[in-house]
Amino acid sequence: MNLKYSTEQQLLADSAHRFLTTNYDFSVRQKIVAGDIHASEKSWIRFAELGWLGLPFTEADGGFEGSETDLSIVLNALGAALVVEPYIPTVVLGARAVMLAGTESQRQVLAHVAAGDIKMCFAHNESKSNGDLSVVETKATQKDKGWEIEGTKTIVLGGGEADYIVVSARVSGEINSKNGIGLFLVPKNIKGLEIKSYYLTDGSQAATLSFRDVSVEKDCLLGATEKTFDVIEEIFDRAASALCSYIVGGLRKLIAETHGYVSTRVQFGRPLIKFQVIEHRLAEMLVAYEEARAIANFSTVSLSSSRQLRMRAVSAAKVKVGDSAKFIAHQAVQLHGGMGVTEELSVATYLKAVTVFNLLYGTPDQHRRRYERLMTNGAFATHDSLAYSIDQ
Amino acid sequence: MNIELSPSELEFRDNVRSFLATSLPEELRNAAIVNISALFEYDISHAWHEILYAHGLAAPSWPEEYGGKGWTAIQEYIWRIETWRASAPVISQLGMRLVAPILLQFGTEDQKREFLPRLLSGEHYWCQGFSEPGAGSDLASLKCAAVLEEDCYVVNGTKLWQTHAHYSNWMILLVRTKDTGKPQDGITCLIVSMESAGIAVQPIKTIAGDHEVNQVFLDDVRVPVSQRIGQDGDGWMIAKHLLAVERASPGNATARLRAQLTILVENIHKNKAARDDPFIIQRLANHSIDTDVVEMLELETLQNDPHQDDGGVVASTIKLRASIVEQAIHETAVMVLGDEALEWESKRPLHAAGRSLDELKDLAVIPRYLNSRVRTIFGGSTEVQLGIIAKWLSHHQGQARL
Repeated sequence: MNLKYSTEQQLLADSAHRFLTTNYDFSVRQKIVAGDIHASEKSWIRFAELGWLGLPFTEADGGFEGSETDLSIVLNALGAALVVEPYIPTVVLGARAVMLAGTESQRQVLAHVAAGDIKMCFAHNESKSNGDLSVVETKATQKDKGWEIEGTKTIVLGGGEADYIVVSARVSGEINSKNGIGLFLVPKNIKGLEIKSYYLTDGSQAATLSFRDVSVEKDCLLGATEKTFDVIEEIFDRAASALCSYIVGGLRKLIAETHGYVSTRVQFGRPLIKFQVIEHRLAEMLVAYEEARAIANFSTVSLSSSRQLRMRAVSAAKVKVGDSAKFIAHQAVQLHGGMGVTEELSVATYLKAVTVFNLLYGTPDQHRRRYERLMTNGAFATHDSLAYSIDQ
Repeated sequence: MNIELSPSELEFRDNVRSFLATSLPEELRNAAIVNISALFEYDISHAWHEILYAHGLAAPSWPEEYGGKGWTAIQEYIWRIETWRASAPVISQLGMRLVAPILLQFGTEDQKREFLPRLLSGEHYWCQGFSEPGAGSDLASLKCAAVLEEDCYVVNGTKLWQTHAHYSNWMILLVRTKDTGKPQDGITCLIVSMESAGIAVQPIKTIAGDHEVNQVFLDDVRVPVSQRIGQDGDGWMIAKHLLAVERASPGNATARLRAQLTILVENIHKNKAARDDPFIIQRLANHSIDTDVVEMLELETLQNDPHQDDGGVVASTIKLRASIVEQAIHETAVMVLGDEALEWESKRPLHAAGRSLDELKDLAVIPRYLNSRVRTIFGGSTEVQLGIIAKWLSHHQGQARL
């Protein structure tokens, strides 16, 4: 057991936070959200130069073989700056699907991702999904030379910016069958693919992807085996865990901003922090942060463990980080008073990011129910330490 | 980072588990399961203490030269998780958790040789004398006075909330030896025999009908200077250290919570209406997630350098959360049992009430809920913890830990 960062990881954290503080402050973010494509592209290239885009890939795939912890450290820094570029859709989702299911030749895309040439996304969610990962209505029909894909994917994170899309489609079986789902690696400019791009609440970018008689080559198939659903489930968990690491970085920033504000804002003749009600509220925010930080780490260390432990940890994290994040963001706005609801300060944007966080890759309620199912099905015993997880 | 125990630690865990399976008598286990008070009842904890002592396991995390086994923090953690899991009583709780760390850290060699072996054997059973009628959360305002006369302190005053003082033969005491200057600077730490002339113990009955705590009156009690811990005026520094170790002994919060949570799971399993109630199951999941969080925070502390002073902020966070989570678990336990929880058995200790184990388990639910209210009050109330945490945050210019 080791729950501390190594010296190298401490350095990675310091350098990532320092880089983003210097190069990606709130004003830069606002410019990018307002449409400054040049600034966004420049940032992406810097992320590639820093080695962040190929962090989890093997060396053979052009990556740096970073651990789950290394990745969580970068995500944390990205969240502190509320970076809007599609890091999670590209590195954690799309590329991970290729890592988990891709053939030797399909994996060649990873080196381009690492170099910053290619962005990716993972198109799985549909309007009928409602949190059920096995629901796939989009169809893939085998044709002589390959496959034909037909269907619509919604709220695809980074869908408008991706050069390559990993899309799930039903090869056989009922609409909600776990078997018979295929994953396909598709370039964005393929005939018949309509991409309707839009911004989410927090300024990050997503899209609805409509596949109309899209013909793809045979070698676009990443896999359509019994294990494909496991891949989708793992990517879902990795996404949820990555979002937790990301937003925890934001929460730390929110507390610092709020502490700074109430320390200087004078009302009734003294700084707000001199009122015990304000002081204690900040302490409660810090407690909520500590809880979120600790449980997000649990999800990070569980990602390479057994399926059941991973699901338990990720769901616990998504519930607790979600609840903590909402509390901290609401209180941050509250303690900033009227200024907290203006676009001038970043606080309101952090609340928007928290709102997005809580609705993507499983709401707290959906994850609570999954945790309940694991618990009542005996996937873990309440009397066992988390450190006994190697048994599971 | 990784969370798994090493193979040798897992083997250690298995050995602890089989030791407990063979050495913990069933009647002690059954009595401990229905223990409702903050500390385990003296009769059962003392009986278990003697068994552990005979096996050399009364204080395994102490250094070997004082009769311990020099266990690592992780081993101590596993031991705690496993003993709670097996429903073993916690032994000599105040002695082991308060007095031993203080003696090991601040005691003279003579004091260590005199008191550690007797704590280890169970001959000495300890209570603490910190709070007073006028000094609760504001401990530094304590008034109980000690005046040095030749080689003895003469102590006069009143102490309040002395848990198990009526079973104890020794007390660790904070007294005022100086009235001028900062109140914190005039506090001294003494150890005093409860058999000293001038000590009177008066019982206080608490909300669930238990006699667990007392008020202690000290009237010209003479304490030899050799029974002072540290120097005159070191009392506040010692107390602060002590409250930090009280809040942060490895596994202390998690092991308790996991045991309470497991009792709740069993109660839910027995009860079809509760099993099928989505509201109850949702509460249960929340308690389990909250316990996972407390455990992560506690596991992180196992690697901390115990001499590194973080101002107690982590210990405060764990104490604050664990106490609230436990209270919520007991609230759910009441909901699960419903109106059947209302029958009141007034005999104490409850395990000796002459009822079947199943009846006792149900009868324990409401008293345990009521008694749990004290968890956010003792050991530094939630409000005191928030003050400590807020102070830490300001000291770090609003920067939380990464």
